[in-house]
Amino acid sequence: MSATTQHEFHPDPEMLSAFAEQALNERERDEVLEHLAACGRCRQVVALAREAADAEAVQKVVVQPRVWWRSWGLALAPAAVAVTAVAAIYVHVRKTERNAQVAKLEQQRTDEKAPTPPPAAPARPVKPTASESKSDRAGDRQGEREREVRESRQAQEDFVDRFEVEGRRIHTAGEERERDRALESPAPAPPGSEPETDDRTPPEVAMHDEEWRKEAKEAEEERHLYAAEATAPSNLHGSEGGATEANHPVDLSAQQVETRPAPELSPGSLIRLRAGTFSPALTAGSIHLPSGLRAISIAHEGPRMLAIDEAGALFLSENSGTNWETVTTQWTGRAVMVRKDAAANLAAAAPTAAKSEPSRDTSGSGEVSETGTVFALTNDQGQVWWSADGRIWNAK
Amino acid sequence: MASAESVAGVPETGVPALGGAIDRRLLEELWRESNAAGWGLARHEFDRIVLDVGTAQNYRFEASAAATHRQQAEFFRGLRVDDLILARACAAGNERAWEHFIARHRQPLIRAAVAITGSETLGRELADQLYAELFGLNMREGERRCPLLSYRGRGSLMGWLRTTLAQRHVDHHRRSRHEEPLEEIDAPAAGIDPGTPAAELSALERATEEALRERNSEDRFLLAAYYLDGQTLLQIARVLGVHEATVSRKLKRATHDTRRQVLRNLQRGGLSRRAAEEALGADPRDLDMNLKKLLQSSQAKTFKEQAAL
Repeated sequence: MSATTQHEFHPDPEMLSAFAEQALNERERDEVLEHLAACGRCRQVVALAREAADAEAVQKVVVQPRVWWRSWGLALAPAAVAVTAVAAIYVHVRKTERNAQVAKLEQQRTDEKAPTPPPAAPARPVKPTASESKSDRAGDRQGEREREVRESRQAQEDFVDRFEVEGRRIHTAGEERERDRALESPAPAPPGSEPETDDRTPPEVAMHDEEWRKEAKEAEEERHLYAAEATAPSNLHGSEGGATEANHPVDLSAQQVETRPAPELSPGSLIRLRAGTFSPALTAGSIHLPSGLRAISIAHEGPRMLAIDEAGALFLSENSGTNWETVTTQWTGRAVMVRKDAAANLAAAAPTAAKSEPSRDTSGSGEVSETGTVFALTNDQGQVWWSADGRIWNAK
Repeated sequence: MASAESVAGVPETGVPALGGAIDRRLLEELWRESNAAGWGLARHEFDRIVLDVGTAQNYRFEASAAATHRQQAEFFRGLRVDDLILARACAAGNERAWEHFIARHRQPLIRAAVAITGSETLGRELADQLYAELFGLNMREGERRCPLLSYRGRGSLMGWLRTTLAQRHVDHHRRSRHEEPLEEIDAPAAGIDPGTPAAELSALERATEEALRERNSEDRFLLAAYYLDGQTLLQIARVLGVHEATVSRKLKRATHDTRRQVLRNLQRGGLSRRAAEEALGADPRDLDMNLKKLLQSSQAKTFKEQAAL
């Protein structure tokens, strides 16, 4: 079959194009289809022309305007900005409130520690009658005391709240100092080991650690005073000092029992810490003292607990707060805070305690507690008294 | 219905329009639809082109028959009048028509050529060659011949251009590779398995030929396009203007019916059913190759290239 002959038998491009465009009637379509069934060349022509038409259609689709739902992307952008702005404002407000609370707390703590300024020279008052003057002075003292008690209690509750958030183990306000010291001077790590912090510490916890370090600096001054008065061997080994005959060397890691490192924070652990650490008997607000007043400061070592009520009276319990006995006042001023101190400071208080009475600790062995803890009492003028058993107190 | 005036000025309605007379209202309607005034064609040029197209094909009637105005209207409504007028105006050398043609079809023509050849360079070259042909640079018997004259308005002008490009490309490809016509370049059937009895294979071939002959044109087109050309179901579906699933279903049915018909033909030739199945399943490649030969050897003799008018 020659090319000329072939050409004569092929449908012209118009027929093939019309066939592909479904523009032929049935008879014409059957004729073209009959030819296509036998002619590979025309099938190829039709297929190529169809592919070109499809490519053109695809290009038209590409340049078509965007579908309606894609235009919503423009509306989503401002919405996203608005949501981000609201979130930022919320975070900022929360941060401002928290800073204000921290500042207030710091101010309260500063006020507590600062020595009571000497009363300003009062203006010459109009001389009242004897009975009126007496009652007014008593009323003023009572009001001032109540205000101080409220401030002190608020300060302690704020501390408890803060440490609850961090998931740390805070039993009493007195243990805050120990924790501060642990943060300030951590236990000696083995050589070459990295200090354990901070890779796992959330930023929020790290921020509070900074605050604790500030507070720990203040406590550091007191610690230096303790150390200066303590004997060197007992301090070095962290022993119980003169409280016991046997001078058992105690490793420094023993102190870590009191100031154990902050556990890894996780929702589950936080819940467990909260549930296991803050038992109702250990919160100041839930202690019922014989005076009927609320406790403003508590400290405990095992089942032994000390509590100061709103009137400044100190009470001792040997059975975790079930029974209380009043401790005779051996300090000046009004007691406002009692706390537990670490063994490094024990030497200062142990001799006196040992001479007076073997302390009744948890085990009932008559020794000072094995952890070497002493209690420190602070009056409203910032003066400190120490005791190993909570009954006998000596000025610092 | 009021009588209408023909182009020749004779009022006519529903009567044979001999002598090329066309209803003026039909002309007016076609003039509006073609939007020829938009690219600057004069009305008298439009009327002349329409009249030439109608009389050249005699409105698809026999030369001795005369189409009524209604038949004329039906004839023109079956055409792409706007494309047809543009093509004829371009073929006549109308500059405004060429400007409109270039603005409308130049870039699509290039894109189609690139898509057909699969190459930017070859595509542009192919488009330029066709464009030169369309512009009438080729001479035949001393006259400038424009391929646009062969366009008669069946289907879109762009479709015609694409098909022409594809035709040029296929022909060029075959010439450049010194290949035989596509009907003959397909791989011949593999040699007959000497282990198969010749008589049995001969009977199988006859049965297959009869079975394919009994299939309709669409089934044979499906079998050829799918099994011989290797086209996908989607490609075939686009050519036929049906869904891909429809092609799949029809192809499956055509294959099944063909096989069953071959078996039937073998049994009719004297083989038992088991022997027929064995003959059909002995070497399917033989049947496959024979199918190719049979499909390609059948010739459609209904088409003749109509000379461009």
